Amino acid sequence: MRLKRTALLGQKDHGKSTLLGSLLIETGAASQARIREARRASEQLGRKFEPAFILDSFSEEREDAMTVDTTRAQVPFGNMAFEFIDVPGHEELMSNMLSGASYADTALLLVSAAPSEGVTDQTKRHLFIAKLLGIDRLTVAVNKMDVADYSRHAFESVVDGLSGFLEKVGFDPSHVRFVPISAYNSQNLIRSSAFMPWYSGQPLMQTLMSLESSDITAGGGACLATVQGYIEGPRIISGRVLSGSVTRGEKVLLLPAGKQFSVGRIWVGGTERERTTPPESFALELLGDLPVDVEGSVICDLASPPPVGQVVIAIAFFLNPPTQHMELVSMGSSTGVKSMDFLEAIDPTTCNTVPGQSPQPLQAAIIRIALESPRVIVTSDKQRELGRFVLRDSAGLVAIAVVRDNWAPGRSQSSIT
Amino acid sequence: MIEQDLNELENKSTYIIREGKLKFSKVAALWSMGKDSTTVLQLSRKAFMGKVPFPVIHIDNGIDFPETYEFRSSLRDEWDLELIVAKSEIKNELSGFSCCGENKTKALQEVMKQYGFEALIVSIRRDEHGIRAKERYFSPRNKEFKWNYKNQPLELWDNYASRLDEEGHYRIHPILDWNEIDIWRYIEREKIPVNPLYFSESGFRYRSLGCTHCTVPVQSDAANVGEIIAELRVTTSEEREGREQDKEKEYVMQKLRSLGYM
Repeated sequence: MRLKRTALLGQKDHGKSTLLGSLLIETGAASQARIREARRASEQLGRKFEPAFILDSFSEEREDAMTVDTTRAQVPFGNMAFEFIDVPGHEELMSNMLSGASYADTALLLVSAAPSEGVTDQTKRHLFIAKLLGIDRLTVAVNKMDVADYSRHAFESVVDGLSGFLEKVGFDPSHVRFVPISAYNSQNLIRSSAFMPWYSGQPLMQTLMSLESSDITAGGGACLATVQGYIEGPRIISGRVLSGSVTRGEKVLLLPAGKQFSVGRIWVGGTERERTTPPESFALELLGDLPVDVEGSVICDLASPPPVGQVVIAIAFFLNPPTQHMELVSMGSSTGVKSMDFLEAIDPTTCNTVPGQSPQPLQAAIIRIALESPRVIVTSDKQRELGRFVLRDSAGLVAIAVVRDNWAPGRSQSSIT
Repeated sequence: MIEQDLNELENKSTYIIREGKLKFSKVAALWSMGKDSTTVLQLSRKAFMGKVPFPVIHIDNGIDFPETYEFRSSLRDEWDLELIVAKSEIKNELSGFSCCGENKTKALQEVMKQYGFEALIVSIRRDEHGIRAKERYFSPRNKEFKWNYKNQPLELWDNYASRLDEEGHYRIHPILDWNEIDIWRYIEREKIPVNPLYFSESGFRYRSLGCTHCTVPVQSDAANVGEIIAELRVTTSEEREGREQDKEKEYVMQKLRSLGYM
């Protein structure tokens, strides 16, 4: 069964882990032993039963009632299976949030309807990042309806407060759903809630099922495959197919070297094959005089090679201030950054741009990077995996980014993609 | 228990194993002779043209089951494994926190130092334990083998961290995504040899294997791989119910892992 990977997004304390705990209990996915253990931990801390403890397993997470690192939990529902990725909502743990969200195909955003909670800057930042990561289907769970008297007005004011921003970030309204819930009381999760007769839509899980994910279909397009390195002698390489296929006997181009090779034998899962297709991880023989270093190379058709260059224009979200010695890392291989220009800084909580200003942590920017050596540069709309990268320095992650084709000063910035 | 696409899992795991082998100069795999680490060896054979391309380490405290030792020699010969046995001495109480923690971790530290391994392939899965669900595919450990779980490196897409701190090492977790039932379905599909202790005898079998002192069998009539899969499709109990170390008290697994336990 294929899993629909769904990231839980939203401000700290708006109920992400509680929702996931409740879903695991309601759908029967959590074992009795796990529920007992969470109950015992709640009692030891002198609290009412915390569904969140099914997921939050670190002692710090339970004592401080705050998710520290991502967790994944699988929930079977109907004829589908969801893998929910619970991420920290605390601003300081944004990097862990990113790590979790990068594995998702779709997202579930939680916004509290409790008085004085609602949409926050962190809510908006999470949406900005989700869009940047390529997520374009969204379910918004308006949570804590129990604290808001299950009132229609409270629900609608969250919907109204968020809709404008969603469009500004670039979400298509027809791919966004709003569902009122109470995660703590398990209301409107898998059954319609008697407390909210005014809500005519489907409960949360059914809503998630109905939103088709925008999975890029495998198999189509021109041949593109990435190379990890030599796994046996200077002859057999390993890698993964991203699109199209690689077939025995055909001629391919190896980039950025720009040399032609014939494809010899191919193995997938240890078995010899005539061809390999996405998302397979392969071993194959390239016949000819191979370069010494092939790590990070790309195999492609002779007819439609992607561009190779040393300048990248991208939209980036910064976690840390940029430094002098950074590298660009994509598909496991890195290239040194010679210089970086800020073309436009963007505030992810408003999507407003400020020309030329260098961005602070938790801000975004359009950047232009000069690389120390050439690599394949593909925009994210053409190839999602090659079109995204991270910037890191010796201390760790600086930014995540997606490649854009161009940038013109003063062009209105209505959407981040 | 959700059954996932075995080809998809295999592709991802072989990719991670290759990435581990290519990013570090000295790599070894931990092999407990259990179903998970034996599956990882099969995946490694598939990733590297039919032969496991790195040594496999058994941390041997001398109190594993006789069947386990027999299985070790027969598969070592069959798959031509480069086996390193790291003898661990039992000095203190014979179960749980200090046994798994001090004894096994110390033996592992010594063998890592002796051979200079930079990375260890470890066969943990997210569905085994809440703490293991928080792991990364590539996870650094410091000189004392400690896991800094409060500050794990970012893992975005396929860009795994691999920068070594002095004297530290990496744990590589190629089957983090697999569920218990996927392991058994793969064992069935690939006809992977398994330790006979997993199969029921007189109404009991081992569902998770540790050493003789802290593993107890569970009630089961499943006497072959097919029957184990059928049993897992309907079970409501947890895999590690027969493992003492997990239930002594709260957060034992968290403490063990942060101190270097597998």
